[in-house]
Amino acid sequence: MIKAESLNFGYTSRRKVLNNISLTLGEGHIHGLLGCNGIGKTTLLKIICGIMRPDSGSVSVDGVDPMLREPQMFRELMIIPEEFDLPNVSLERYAKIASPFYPRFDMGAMRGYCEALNVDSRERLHSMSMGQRKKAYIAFALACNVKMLLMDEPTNGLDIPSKSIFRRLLAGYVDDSRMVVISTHQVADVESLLDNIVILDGQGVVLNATTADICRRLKFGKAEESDSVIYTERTIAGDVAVSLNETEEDSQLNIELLFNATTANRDAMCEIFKK
Amino acid sequence: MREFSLSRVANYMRYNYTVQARNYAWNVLSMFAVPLFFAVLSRDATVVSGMSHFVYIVAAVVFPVREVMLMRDRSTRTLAMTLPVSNEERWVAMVVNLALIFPIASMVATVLAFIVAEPFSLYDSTMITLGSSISLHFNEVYFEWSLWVFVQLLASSSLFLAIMARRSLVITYIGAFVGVMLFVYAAVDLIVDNEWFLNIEAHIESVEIVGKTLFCLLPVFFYALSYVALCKRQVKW
Repeated sequence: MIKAESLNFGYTSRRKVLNNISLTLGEGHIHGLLGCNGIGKTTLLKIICGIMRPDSGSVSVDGVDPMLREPQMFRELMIIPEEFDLPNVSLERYAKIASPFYPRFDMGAMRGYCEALNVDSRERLHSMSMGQRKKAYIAFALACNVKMLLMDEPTNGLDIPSKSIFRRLLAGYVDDSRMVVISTHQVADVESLLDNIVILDGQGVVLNATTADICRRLKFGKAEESDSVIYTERTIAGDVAVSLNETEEDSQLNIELLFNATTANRDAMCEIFKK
Repeated sequence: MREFSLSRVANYMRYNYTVQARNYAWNVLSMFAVPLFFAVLSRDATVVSGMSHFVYIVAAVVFPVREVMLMRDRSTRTLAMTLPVSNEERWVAMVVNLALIFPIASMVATVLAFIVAEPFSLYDSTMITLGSSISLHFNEVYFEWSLWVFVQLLASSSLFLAIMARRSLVITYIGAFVGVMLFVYAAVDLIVDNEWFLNIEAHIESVEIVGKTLFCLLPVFFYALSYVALCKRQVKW
């Protein structure tokens, strides 16, 4: 479990990015971390990994402060950054070097993931394109079988078929003992995967709720006159709205619409999810 | 109690060498190529000795930067920092590299430079003279305790600076060099002004013992400081 309490962080005294962030992310979910550019999503992931120290507040991963660099904790926590550099060796070789750190690493599973993602695990990583390299590292990370997997913009650079394979692999990865945190702007790529949504803004966590809870409280789609509309948006197909689900109707969650509603009408959204 | 694992230290070293293979190769290659270049230029294989001595000392400042670069460099930082390796294990890996692997790499590079430079030498020599040149060089450089301590002093202080430097390594190193020079200048000035040198001359044996002890303890002190700095500083790079 990842727990953050009253987190504050600023790169300088003027440039504050995280403001009073308190949240709990539990196992058994794929959490979507959403927020505008520069709001601190990547910074939050780095603080969770102990790469950055918060100005105030605390973070714990399975009850351990990541700043302590406990190997036992990092065995269960892994991050796939948006941009990274891998050595100029094949993925098989890289796995041989990095896998001893992860006791549940499964080479056979990695080869399977590579095959599914159409990556040659014997090809040198530097001769791969950026997307191929990302897929290779995703395959390695999934094969490590860690409890907590953090991903920063995982679908950036992935081709269209790979995105759907990525969704399938990730859906199969998560069970009751594991969690995945995905920080992304490409909500359409992972919309069907996420079962918990966290939205950040400059004042803190606006929303941290499961998709079931969101759909229970809100309705997405064309608004009717009797609806209590929170936010509307004009599209080619007509107006779509986020409104209160007073009649407990089933509607398809639209994360983009939810995000825009949260950004435009923060106080109302906070009020709805406070209950 | 946090567990310490030597196998994790070894795995971390292997990971470090693989990720920075090209950079390490350049560093080791320079320890071979620079003495060889000057030996070939002067057509005298014995020049290798002096030049490799010089390169060894320069490398003692450069190598520690390489040790820290895995965790400082933007492209490798995130993956390296999230490896399940404790601060103690990372620090031990660095110290083993600097105190053991680096001198051995320098020895191998020097021997190779001697061998390759030999055919270019104007002076005829046999395997025996080549062997004695290498043996003399080893005795003067690698097996000379004071030089080993001096190299470790450079390496440990350089490691400390590389960890402490916030943004620019170059500015930190220049700042440290200027600081040391000013300190030496001030210390000498103080000794001369107060005529302390008379006391020093009178107790030269005690001063020598204290000086040698300090000289030997300084690398230990800087390595210990590096560990503290690594624990405190790594999130501020």
